[in-house]
Amino acid sequence: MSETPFFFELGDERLYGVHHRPAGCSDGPPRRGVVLCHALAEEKLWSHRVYVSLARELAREGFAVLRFDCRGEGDSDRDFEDATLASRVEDALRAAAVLLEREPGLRRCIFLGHRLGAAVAARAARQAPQLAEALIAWDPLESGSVYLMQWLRSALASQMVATGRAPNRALLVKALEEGRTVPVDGYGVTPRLYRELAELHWAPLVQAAPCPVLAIEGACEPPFWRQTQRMHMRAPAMTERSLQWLRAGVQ
Amino acid sequence: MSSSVVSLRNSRGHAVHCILEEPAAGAAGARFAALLLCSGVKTRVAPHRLYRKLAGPFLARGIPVLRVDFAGLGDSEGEWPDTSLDAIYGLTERGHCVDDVRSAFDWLEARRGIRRFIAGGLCGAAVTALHVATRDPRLAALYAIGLPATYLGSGAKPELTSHELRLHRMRYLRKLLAPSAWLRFLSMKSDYRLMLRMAGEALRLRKPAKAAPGAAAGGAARDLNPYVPLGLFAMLASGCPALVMFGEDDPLRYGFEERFMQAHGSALEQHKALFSYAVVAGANHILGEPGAVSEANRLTALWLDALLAEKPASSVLGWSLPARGAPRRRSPAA
Repeated sequence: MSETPFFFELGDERLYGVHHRPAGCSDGPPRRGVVLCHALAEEKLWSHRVYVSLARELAREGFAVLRFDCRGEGDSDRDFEDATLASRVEDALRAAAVLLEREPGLRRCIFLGHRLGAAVAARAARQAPQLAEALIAWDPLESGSVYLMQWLRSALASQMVATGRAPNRALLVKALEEGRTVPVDGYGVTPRLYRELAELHWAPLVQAAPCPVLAIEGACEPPFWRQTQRMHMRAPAMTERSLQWLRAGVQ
Repeated sequence: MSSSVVSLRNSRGHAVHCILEEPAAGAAGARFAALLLCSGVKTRVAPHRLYRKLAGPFLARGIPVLRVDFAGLGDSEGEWPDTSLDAIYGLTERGHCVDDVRSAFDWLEARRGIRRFIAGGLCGAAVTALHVATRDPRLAALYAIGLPATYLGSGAKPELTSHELRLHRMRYLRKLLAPSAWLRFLSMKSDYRLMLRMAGEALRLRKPAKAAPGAAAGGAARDLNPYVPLGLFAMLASGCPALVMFGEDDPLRYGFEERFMQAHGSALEQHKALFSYAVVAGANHILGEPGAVSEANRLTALWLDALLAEKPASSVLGWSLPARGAPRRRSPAA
């Protein structure tokens, strides 16, 4: 197996990615390709190591993997405040193209996304059905607006514990509705991201998927995408279910 | 400015993946390189990509910035022996990641010809840099944000700081009108020791004038991480400057002030030209509020200008020892 971190371009911006190749690729192309679409903001950071382990396990099973940072996240260009759900979908499609360029024996890839990344992966698959072999969703967000409310509540609760004071959640929502950006965990949530999340629902995304879909509920794992007592290095249940599905051969 | 991926090997053979940001003129010949180290477990970008935002003042002064993923974190190879957060923080507290920093020094020295380094970052990153200070003379300056001063390694519950007591007091005051809280009070299940301490602290806080600056801080000082004075005074004694910044609302600020600054006040006064201390108004531990990063970068720029001009930073970042229980302080004026 090999791991190659590198930057790739999208227009005049650069995205950071890591290409995981299975061992023995000199004998022929890998079994399949997988593009990993990450969760949003701090959920991305908390789940980072799980994605690293997943990519390594997929590579051990013969898959070529590209995990990458969307613009506005991680080591990629652009401020978080300037990134949108739409830009994340564009990034996922570019990542898929880059994986296929680096693995010329492959023609399509599997999109795997976690939390908000599942919606990104689903939209990418819908926009480029010719690229999408399958879609795997890890704990997809049923409703973007519920997700945002939970994020706000969690951030405000942390603030209250640390300082003894925090703004009212309703005031933050009002500010977003009035077109102002609000800080959450250090990220500027913009009115545009707020609107995109408000319109986000998982059920229609699955119905519109142009390829086989495996959705795995998050309850089968401890919430490794949030701060808990442990730094989660793997998501064994989600990984095994994904691998079983892939080993069975997606039709 | 350009950024590139750097993959180096630590002494255990793990690939340690970093991002090197170089100023427009390149890094070769720079007097210093800055290393921003993993803060706890949040990889080389840190919470809300803080390290990308903090790189600006360094790059603007021709100082390249290397953001480092320690082995077992971020994209790097390797594993931690125990993955509970307490264990990771405890290992970091005891210098688990020093080798990776020294490997990064080696890489920068071999590939860019830089021999002097500014190292640190947020929280545990600053603790790691203090360990490096005791082991590697190439460390030229400490850059610390939200430096934890409390020692967790003993496993014992640390003494509460005045800030923590104040938070508890606010919580209890809010409960005064709740019948269920009174029922609990009468059930003998309440923490009466904590209540007494809060009451005592409240009475003492009303008399700040009697608190002697520099006096030992009592119970809280017993929980000081010994590596904080060890590393910091090792640096200062060898003429290396240190910048320590906290968000005003960072609970760790009180730990640093009460456990370290008050207990070591006279020694710090002797190194006032080298030790810079600043509080970013209205900011939390991760500098997450609007304007906090800009303010931190303004302070960093002042400090770097003094460092590069070989002037005492105290001329631009003056500070005084915090009095016990003093709740608010502001950043040095622009």
